[in-house]
Amino acid sequence: MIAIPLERLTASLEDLPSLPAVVMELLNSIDQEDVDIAVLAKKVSHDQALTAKTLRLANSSAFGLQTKVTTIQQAITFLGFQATRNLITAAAITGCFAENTCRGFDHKAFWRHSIATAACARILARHKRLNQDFAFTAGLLHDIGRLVLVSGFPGHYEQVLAHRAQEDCSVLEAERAVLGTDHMAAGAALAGHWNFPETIRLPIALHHEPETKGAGFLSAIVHVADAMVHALDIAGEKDEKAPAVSPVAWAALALNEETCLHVFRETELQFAEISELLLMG
Amino acid sequence: MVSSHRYLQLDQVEPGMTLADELLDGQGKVLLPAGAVLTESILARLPSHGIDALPIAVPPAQAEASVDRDAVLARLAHVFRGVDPHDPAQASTRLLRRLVQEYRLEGTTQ
Repeated sequence: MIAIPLERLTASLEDLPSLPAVVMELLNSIDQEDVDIAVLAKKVSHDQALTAKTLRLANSSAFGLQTKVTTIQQAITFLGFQATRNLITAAAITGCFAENTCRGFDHKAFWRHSIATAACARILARHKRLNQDFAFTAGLLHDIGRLVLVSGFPGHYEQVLAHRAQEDCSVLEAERAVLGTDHMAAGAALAGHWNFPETIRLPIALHHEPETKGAGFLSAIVHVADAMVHALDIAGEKDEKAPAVSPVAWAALALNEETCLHVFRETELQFAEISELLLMG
Repeated sequence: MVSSHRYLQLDQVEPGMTLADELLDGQGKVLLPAGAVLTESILARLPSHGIDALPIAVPPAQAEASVDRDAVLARLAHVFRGVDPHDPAQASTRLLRRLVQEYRLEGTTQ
């Protein structure tokens, strides 16, 4: 055990790359309706790479637009503010963490899993008539704590990966055994540091324990989406291992068989497209 | 883009299938975006636009002409290797496995 005490974990957050200011603003205001959209659209437009990536996403068939959008303002008009905010966040955050600091950690596979979970959570939320945009963002960020650990403690995390391979246990179990902490705690710390709203912080902090009192329905959605994506073997990891599904979360979603098969199909189709757009270049 | 598709005559297309490519009318106007899920009412309107066949998406699971049943089952057994077949607490995990198996083997002869 080479435990990482909480103070060191918190200190490591200071060294993380910061997101573009406008993305922080978007994330922090995710549950507010009274944001000045015109000002935000203008700010985002100053970042050309971010704008281009966002518009490519908005025009992908996953979002079903009938017309091509060419400006952020147009995207907001056709997709709505919440959905556009989502896309901007996704476009910004997937490019934010440095790659290859930790041997054996596959950044591409990490993002493939996160993107697939985002797509699946959004589809599940639609079936449950819940806010699809929160579900997408929560799905995309649910494992962000792993990146905190990988970036801040690459040497430690190499041992986590070695332990996981040797014991054939889950990542969560390996983190707890080697580090005395886990990616849910690290993610919760980051969510606090970056001022994420509670809606997004809860699934990050509790997606492996969705039955916890107060975890919220979005934690259950992200939990099931995570399990489905592992089960569908989407990230392309050789030793993929499906996690146990919480009976409480599964029952809460009350999915019938037909819905599940539909969710699988749609997740795979959307994943193929979104990941190509987000992970290119 | 959708990885694989096939052209189906309109009378073979069923509601719930997914359009693999943008659908244009005679003037090049987009009628439906790629990825649109076709409904009965959409299908009923297409003949009036002079459309008689559609590119239909083939889900990745079915993309290869013959799904290798044994390979699918072996891979599922590997992915779900942590699941206890008898533990009542893991019933939902076993159900998920059964559903994914059904999904992967959809369309193959049993």
